[in-house]
Amino acid sequence: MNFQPSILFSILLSIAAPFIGMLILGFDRKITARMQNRVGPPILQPFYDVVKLFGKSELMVKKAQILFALMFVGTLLLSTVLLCFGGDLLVIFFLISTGMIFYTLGAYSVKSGFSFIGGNRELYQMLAYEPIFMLTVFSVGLITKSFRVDQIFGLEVPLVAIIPLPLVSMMIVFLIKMQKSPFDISTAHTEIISGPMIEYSGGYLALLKIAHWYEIFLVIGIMSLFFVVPGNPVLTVVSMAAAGLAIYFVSIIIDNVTARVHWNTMLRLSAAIGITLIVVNVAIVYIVAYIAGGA
Amino acid sequence: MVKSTITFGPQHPVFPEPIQFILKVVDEKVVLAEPQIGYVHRGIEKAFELNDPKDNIFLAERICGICPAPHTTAYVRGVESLMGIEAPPRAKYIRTIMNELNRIHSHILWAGLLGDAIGFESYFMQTWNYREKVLDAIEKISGHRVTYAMNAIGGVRRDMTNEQLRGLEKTMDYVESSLENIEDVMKDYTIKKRTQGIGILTEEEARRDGAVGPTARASGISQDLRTSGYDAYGDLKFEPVVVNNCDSYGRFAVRWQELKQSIDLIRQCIVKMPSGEILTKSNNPMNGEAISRVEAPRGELFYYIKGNGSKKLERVKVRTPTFANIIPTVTMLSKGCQVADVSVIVLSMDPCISCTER
Amino acid sequence: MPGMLKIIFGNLFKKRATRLYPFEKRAPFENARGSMDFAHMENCIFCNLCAKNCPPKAITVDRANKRNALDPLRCIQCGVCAEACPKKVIEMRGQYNEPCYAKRTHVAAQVVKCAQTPPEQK
Repeated sequence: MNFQPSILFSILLSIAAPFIGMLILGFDRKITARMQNRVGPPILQPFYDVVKLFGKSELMVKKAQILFALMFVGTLLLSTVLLCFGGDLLVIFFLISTGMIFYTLGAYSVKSGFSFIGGNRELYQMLAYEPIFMLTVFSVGLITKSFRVDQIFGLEVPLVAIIPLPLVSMMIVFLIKMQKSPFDISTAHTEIISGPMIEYSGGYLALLKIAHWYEIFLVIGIMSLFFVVPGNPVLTVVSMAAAGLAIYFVSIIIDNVTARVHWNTMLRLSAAIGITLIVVNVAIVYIVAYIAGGA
Repeated sequence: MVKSTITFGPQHPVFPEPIQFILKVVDEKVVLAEPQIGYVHRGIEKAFELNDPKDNIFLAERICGICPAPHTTAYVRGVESLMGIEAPPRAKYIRTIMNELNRIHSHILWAGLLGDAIGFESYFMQTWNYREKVLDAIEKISGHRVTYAMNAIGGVRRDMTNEQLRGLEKTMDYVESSLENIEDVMKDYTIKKRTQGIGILTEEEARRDGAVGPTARASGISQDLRTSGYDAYGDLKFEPVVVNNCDSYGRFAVRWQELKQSIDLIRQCIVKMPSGEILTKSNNPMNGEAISRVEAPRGELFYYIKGNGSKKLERVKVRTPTFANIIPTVTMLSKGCQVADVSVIVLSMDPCISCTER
Repeated sequence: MPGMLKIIFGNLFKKRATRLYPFEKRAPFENARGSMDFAHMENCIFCNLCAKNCPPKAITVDRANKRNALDPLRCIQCGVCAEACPKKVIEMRGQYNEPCYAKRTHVAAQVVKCAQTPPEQK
């Protein structure tokens, strides 16, 4: 409550958001390459890819695809701005889900077998991660008594000290969102050739790539909210950045030591691990509060 | 129940070569699979009849980029039996070494491709890194990584020096230790999840559909042509690797154990390597028919060669192991797998399409 | 999973296995068959054995003009010509052929000492 990020900082952050996502992706590719004993592409490779894609001619199968791609990026942009300005976490969450619905509709709008299966799998993925994401948002809300991001800055201790287990569950959401093994099922290139993205080309494919940069920023941003150090802006920025990078590094490691699983295995794992952990943690918080209150 | 059609291939990231499977799917379940081949026909069998028999060795080598050694071995053995000559013992040992090196690199390549198919990129990169050392060993012996050009009618073209043999031994040590390094990964939960119980081919079905090579051996059929003792295999001690899993994991396990077996066979060859000539020269006319069979990394490779006494061959017919394994693959696919498993199942028989279509 | 963890962390601190190819080249192995070269043309007797033995028929021998020609795109680097040559004119070099933009025949001519101007090399 006493600490509010300045408006200028928020504006700058929302402009820089996709580029932060892009840089993280670039480092991801470099580190992955090093883990696989390769040289790897330059750090700015994702940026070069997008610039090149914008220069390519567009061959769209259906006009509707364009609309869905634009809506997808638009909703993600909106939720990023909301996050940077300390908006409502629940609204951010619903905006991301709406974006994914547009993405899926884009996949369904074309008559392509692979795109259709990709859309299906995208829905399965949503089925897997949405409950975890939502429960995490709810548990944050339970602790802060509000869904607003800026309320987290008014807490007495960092969120991670109170509810660490939802952070572990969020790792599943993170892996699914970042299209990393073992949950990269919707864009599995050796199975369904990038699924939902298969019929996009040129600038609109580039839009989807940019949307992915936003996604990276959003999910890392929300997860690093757990590491806000109240009352200390400098330490907050440092710990949030460090936590975000650490989370990403863990995801790279998991990506490199696992194979892709089936969608039903993913559903089972996410339901079993993700939801249980959150419920257990919230229960513990309440029991502790009850005992403390009773004593 | 919406039944949709997916054309899996001929251009698909999981297939390095063009083969098409037309899949009828309900949701994600495959109910029918139809293979389509014939995208890379190059007319090599006809070219065999037009060229000089000794130039054909290089043609046979180019049938397949992954297993040039078995192809040339099968061809020269067929021509030798038409001519009524036999390669000297040292040449036979060198041929055996090349065949086994070929098997090692082919199986490691396959393991990497399987890793790629199930989305395990780091496994793919790591295995191919190890394979590179095997290719280097091949290049040191034959002068080329892919097209060895080692076989000649009546022997081999290049001899192996003692230095090369020692270098080979070192490479084998390296490959063995690397394989041990990465062996744990086979027991990984996700790999087991993706391969165990996927693509089941029972022993009965394998016999009925005529599966060959590791595909048959993973279904419990003890069938390995090397036991017939051609080239130097008669002098070497080994047992065919047979596994009773009947699934993709079994085929993985068979290939993994064959890697170790091949390393052992090469070591035996190095120890037992006889000295002497490497080439028997002959100008005998080629008359009559010959059948020559060789165990390629993918299974039984069959050459039928017919000569009519003239300078050129009348007919060369090749049957590759992949051709025999396509029907078993369709059997596996038609049992109702998921779309995600199609790539694993097709890869588990190690398809080599340009071999099959020549 | 633990096996792979060990490997990927080992790789992080290992020297990378790949090269930036056109800038860094590995030295060819001894006896490697990278490309074929008419190295000692002064010894050539134009016996046509190389052209006769060449499996893809990439070599043409021009006895009248004292020139040998190789089509590098037909050549399969098998080394049969080098084995067949009685005067050891042909050598196999370890270095692979450079990639090229146009089809070009590589002509090697025998330089005759008394000639005023040596035949031009294409």
